[in-house]
Amino acid sequence: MNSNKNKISKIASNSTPDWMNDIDYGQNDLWMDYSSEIARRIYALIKDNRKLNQEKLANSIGAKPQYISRILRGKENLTLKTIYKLSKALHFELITFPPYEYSQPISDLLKPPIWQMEINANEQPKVVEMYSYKNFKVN
Amino acid sequence: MKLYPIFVDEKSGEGLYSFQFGKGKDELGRLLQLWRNHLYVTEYCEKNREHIVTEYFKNFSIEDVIKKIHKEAQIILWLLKKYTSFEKYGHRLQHIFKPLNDNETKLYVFQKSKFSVERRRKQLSPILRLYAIRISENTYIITGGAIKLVRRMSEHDDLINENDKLEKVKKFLIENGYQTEEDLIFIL
Repeated sequence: MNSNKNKISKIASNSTPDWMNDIDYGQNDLWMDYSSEIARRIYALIKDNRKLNQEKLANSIGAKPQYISRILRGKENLTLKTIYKLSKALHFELITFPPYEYSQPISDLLKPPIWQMEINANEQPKVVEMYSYKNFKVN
Repeated sequence: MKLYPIFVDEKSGEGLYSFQFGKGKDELGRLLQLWRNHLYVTEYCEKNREHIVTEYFKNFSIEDVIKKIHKEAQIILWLLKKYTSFEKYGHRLQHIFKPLNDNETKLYVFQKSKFSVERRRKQLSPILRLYAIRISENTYIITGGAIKLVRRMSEHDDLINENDKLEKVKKFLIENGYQTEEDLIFIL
């Protein structure tokens, strides 16, 4: 084993790359599923509307185009206020809420969150234990 | 050209390394940044729409493919870390990296290898690939990776380029004194 280490140490850097200090290895990234859902919709709305582009959308919410670009990359942890502004500018509700009345038991409305859905053609989405990553094994 | 340790056992030097071809990030860092960029993934799938609307993807839509890539990109680094976590799991990296050529039944030095998340029944096949050179037992150097939307590597320019990168890294290792050794393991 030491010969292996000696050989590789001659050609490898001593330290890990800088990006490894910032990256999230697992479950803390799951909020990005929401970010991705929103990004997909904004992308489609901009693409479908010839009168709209990232710059115009940015102007309409009082932000810089770079901010819209970050949103489209799925990297932004958006505030409710920003989601509202974007929805208003796009004339499209980016998030919706299940109907709820105080008199109705909330348990009747419970549905699995999006990160527990798996993709399966021709079938209804199934709930999987993605939160613990148990469903992801290797070949 | 440079080589970075990603998850490496300090005592033995075994583990996962990533290659840096020019300036900028090493390959694993570069790919994770790209694959976690929703805009890049969406535009890539749009650009390669012709490959998605084929029998290979059956009834899955571009939207399904984008979502799948998003989920795989979230999980890849976690899996690599898990299988190089030496204290807890031991040396298992070569359980998850497979020979690039599906017909090969042995592991050897400078072998072209690939990694993907598990294929699940009735689900979309894994789409993201990491490519690596195996340099010794449980030790791999990532040379690149791709969003694989076709069955064979020869069917897409990006994948042909990844094959070239595998060759370049192999050449780099030989030119920089990484000697081959007797290291042949048969896959059961």
